[in-house]
Amino acid sequence: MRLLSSASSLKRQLAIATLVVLTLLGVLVAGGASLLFERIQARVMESRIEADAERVLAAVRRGPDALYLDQTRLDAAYSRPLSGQYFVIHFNDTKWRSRSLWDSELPAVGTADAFVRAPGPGGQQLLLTTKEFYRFGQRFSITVASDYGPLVKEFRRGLYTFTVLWVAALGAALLAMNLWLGRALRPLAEARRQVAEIQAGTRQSLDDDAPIELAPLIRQVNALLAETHHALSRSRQAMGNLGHALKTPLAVLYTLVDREEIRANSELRDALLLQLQQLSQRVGRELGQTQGAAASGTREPFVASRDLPAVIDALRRAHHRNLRVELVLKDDERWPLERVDLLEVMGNLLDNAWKWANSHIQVKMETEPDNWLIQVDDDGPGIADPAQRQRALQRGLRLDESVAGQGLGLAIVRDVVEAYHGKLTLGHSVLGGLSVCIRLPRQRGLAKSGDPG
Amino acid sequence: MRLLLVEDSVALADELLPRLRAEGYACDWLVDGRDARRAAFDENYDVVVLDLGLPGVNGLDILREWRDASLRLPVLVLTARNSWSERIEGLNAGADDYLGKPFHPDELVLRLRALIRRSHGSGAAPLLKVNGVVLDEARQCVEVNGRDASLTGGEFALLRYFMLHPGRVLSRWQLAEHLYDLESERNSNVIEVHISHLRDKLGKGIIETRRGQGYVFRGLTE
Repeated sequence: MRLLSSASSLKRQLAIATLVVLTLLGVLVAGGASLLFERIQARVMESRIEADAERVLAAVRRGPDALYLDQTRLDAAYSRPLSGQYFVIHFNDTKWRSRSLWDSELPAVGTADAFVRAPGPGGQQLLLTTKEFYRFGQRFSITVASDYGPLVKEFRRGLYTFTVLWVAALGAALLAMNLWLGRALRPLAEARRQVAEIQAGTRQSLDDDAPIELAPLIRQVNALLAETHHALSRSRQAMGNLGHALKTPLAVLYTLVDREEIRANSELRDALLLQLQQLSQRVGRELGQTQGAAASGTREPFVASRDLPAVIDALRRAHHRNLRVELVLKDDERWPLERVDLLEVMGNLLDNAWKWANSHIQVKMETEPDNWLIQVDDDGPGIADPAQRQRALQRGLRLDESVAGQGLGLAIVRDVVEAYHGKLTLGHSVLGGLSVCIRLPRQRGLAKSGDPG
Repeated sequence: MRLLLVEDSVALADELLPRLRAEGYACDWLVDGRDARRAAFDENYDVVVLDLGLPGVNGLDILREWRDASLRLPVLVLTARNSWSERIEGLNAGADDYLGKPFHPDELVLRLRALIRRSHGSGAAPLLKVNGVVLDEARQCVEVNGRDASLTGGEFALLRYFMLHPGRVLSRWQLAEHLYDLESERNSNVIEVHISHLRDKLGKGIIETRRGQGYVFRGLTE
């Protein structure tokens, strides 16, 4: 019952259905065949024993003084004890029995010309009939019997062979069906793989050249994806607009706080600035999250040799001092990471390094077997205490720290790194300052889906 | 220094303009990008502060148009769109600097100062030093022979303009063009008064008069 009710496996359900159908079919065929066989066998036996009765009558001869039975005209089987062929002849008050009957009797047959089945000597299964004839002016009643047991045995053997073959065929059918089904379900596995790719961000929709049974489902999934994508980008856009709309009033507030009246009251000004900074950091961070490439769906690879100098150039203009920036780019292949995201990471890391460095920044980008490695070192004061380095990465502490001028501006960087399932670590640099190290797994997305098989 | 502020937020412009004027900039303010597009060609601005999210037209398109027309005017982009990719897009479009909103007004002033210095080939030192004259732009005072001399707003703006164009002959018309915004009355006598005050404070030889041509900043070395 549990097998039948289990809806979890199509294969199992189909196997059960096949098993039930083929078994029923087998039973029906076998039953029909044996019924048919019995009827044919009965006909053949009946006409045979009728003929036997006539042949027995033909063996009754008139002798010189009385009637006698001509043994030469009788089948040899009638003389062999318990041979399975028997007769009994009644006429007048005389009763002749075949020698084969030995010391047993034939069961009585009620009416003439009827066919009766009855157990015979030695467990034989007999078909009997009684015929009445007029010969030599006398009335003869001849009962003939024949053992049909061997025939039944033969049939049973045939039926057994048939059953064995049938079960073998059943097994073969199940095996073949399993293989076929495996092949037929392959598009499902393919679809699953494509869904994983969508999740990983390397694909936008499912291929719709699937079998006709699957195609409607795939079209539906694609429609759903498109709709979700649309809704998502609309809400992101709305959020982006909100964030950007907030920035100008924030800028106004910053200039208002700078007015003489407020400058005069430094306590009020500090409190206002604190709130303003928290507000603008919050807005900036949320915008960073809605505008990352993972969110916006733009696809353009980061090319370190082209994009890093642009970032450094922007920083040279923004900061009022010039630093030596050393680029160590191994394997300057196109990194399959989004340019928008990596620009955000590199921009913020370098901006941060620029604030603290004395004169020298080193940027290292290289591929490891499993990761993309980004490392930014500076020769600034760094963070000596490992516990404090740990603290700098903790959530929630960041805002307060940055207000106090200790901020690392790493919030947006950390958001991007988290979106890529990467790791951000702070360490002591060989240059003497802080070393920020980011490792982004190369198998992005697959790790997320959990089951790479 | 003539400065064009292109900003559609009235509140922000209202706050920024007095601050920028106090820094010695002669400021014009435009809200509409289409007006700004023409104004950059029609007037002699020394620097533009350009918002990108303008009604009617994208600030980046205006910037590209200016650069395509070989307008080498220094432009500082002031925008809410300040992700790094947007920042680099802005710089690639021809912006000389890029400042994201919200910003601290001091930051804008510092960036403008650095931008103007850079566009005139001067270094990024905190003080502007030309031919022995040291101008402190933050305090708006000048140092001559080891002592500070205070300057009025008009004197400061004039001296800074001279110091950013050392050795060049500047006509009275040219000076007025770069020191007064569109709304001010351009009275060249005022410039003459400022020059005579500067000569009083810094010595006669600091600004040379070229009759019929204009003035040349000489400084103290000669």
